[in-house]
Amino acid sequence: MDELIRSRMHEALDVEQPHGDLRARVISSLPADVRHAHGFRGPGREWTLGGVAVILAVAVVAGLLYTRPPRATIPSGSGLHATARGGFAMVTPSIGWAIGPAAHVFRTTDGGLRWRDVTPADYSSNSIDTYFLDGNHAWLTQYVQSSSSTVVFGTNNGGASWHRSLPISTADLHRTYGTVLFFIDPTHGWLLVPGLVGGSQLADPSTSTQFEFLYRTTDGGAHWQQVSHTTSRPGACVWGDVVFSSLTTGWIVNFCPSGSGPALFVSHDGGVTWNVQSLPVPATSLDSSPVFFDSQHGILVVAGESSMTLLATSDGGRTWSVRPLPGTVQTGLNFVDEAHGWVIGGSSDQLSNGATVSGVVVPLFRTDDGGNNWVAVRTDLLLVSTYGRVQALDFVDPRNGFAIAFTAVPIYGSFAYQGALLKTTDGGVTWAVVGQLP
Amino acid sequence: MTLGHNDLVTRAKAGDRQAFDELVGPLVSPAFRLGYGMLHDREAAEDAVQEAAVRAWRKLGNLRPETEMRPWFLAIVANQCRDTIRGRWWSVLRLASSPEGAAIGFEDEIVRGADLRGALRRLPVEQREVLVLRYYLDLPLEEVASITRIPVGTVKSRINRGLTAMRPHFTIVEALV
Repeated sequence: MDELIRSRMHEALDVEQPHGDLRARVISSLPADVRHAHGFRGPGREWTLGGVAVILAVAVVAGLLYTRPPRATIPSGSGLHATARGGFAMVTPSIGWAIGPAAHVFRTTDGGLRWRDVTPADYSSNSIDTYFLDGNHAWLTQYVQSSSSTVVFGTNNGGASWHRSLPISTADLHRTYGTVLFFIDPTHGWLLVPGLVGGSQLADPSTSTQFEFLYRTTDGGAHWQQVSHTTSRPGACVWGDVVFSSLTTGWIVNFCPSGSGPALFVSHDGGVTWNVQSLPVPATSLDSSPVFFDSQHGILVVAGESSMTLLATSDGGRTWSVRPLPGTVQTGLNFVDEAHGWVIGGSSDQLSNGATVSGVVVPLFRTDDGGNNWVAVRTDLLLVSTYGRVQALDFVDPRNGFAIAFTAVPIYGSFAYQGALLKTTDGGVTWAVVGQLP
Repeated sequence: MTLGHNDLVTRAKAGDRQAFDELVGPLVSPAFRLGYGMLHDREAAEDAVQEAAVRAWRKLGNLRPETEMRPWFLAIVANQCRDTIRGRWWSVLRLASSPEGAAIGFEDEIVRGADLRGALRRLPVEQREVLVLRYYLDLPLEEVASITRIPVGTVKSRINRGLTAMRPHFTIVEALV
């Protein structure tokens, strides 16, 4: 079967070759004013004690200058946890964050009309993970290849300035992969750093071991302390998002492709120890962690091939109950608190075929009682309009929400793709275009 | 890793374009194939390779002499392609030179591989990326993991999900074969 797939891939993709001598063009396009001292190693130079001292001094000074932000409670009614990790998160009706071209960070303060690049000056996109807590607080991770470490950039003033953490590095950890960030308030956060110990630079199953290191910060991301680590056969398991509903109770999904399948783990001691959490439905398609709105109320989605099962808790996750969902196929589930949520639900034909026909409205449903009852919204939001197909919903409170749509138009003999941002101020009934994503 | 390789890295870091060409030049072809597999547009793929080469040129200062060039450079190309795809939110991006399949018959589609390209294009970029690296560039799983900076297990699960989504296209071909 592998050979068949290879053969078909070559057949499908070998149809295009670069025009002319691409190799020559590549070399001739290199800038003359290159600055190889991008990191801390100049051309032909090795590490020096002085260089290391400068790095440490800068890091220490940065740590000393870091202002500890005031303690805050879990934001309520924001739905932040549902969108904070994505490339786009509106956190109030006017303030939002987005990841734009070249993985730069953008922020809007006028509801998406204008976007300002607030990327840290010394940040380069590499294994990016983001967490947008509110209008002022956001964090980014960056993998530093030269030191095989991860650093966390944080801002407490909407990106006007950024603090950089000390490098987070574990002895013998020679490689880290995609990191996962979570902050419950401006002060307390967790960072999951997957990586390999031992072996060669590549992920060699015979010589290396995969670890997942969990770190915690209590000063807004300036300093990180290791809390625990897991270990498994290399490649055996994948750990999902880490989520905390209080300073002590946290959740994480573990998926082992060749093992017993996904499982939800819970910790009640800040992430030091973890135990499997039982669920009322088989966790065969569990691939996302719960979303908590406060320490007691949360939801968890168990997704199938097309349909999904909604679970809700009101006792901090000790018990979960199944809530109904409209339609046989659902997408765009979006809760802003334990009561108010939206979902696009319909038949497979309605959502897949209807999405190719202009003039079909989105089958949008709303709940005001935590998913026990769903009511169809008489919306004017079209599945496909001149702005394109609706791709995502992001409500920030029971009345204000945003939708993202793509549009594709022919241009210069090709296609042009542009994203449009639509806004509702009446809970999803009427929508208007407010601008574009950055 | 050879002494010659280390010497080339040292010379390239000092600004020697010929040394850089010897290190990266042989990777331009697989880099283009990766770019085309992800972006499905020749010009966009060429742009991605050129941008990636400039990034690599600027990042040479961080390159350790013992680093394998292929996963290092292809990771930069993959990053560049992801940035290009992300850029669809904000600006125009050439994606396909023509609306494939609109004016050609089913058999022609099969012959030209347009159906498979369309299916690939509809995959999430993370799945598309690992399928192209694994089955178009014929790279081992460990190198795919290194390039995409994810665990091998995640590579496997993404490949499985991607192949599951594309299974009808491979099934059709099996039947024809």
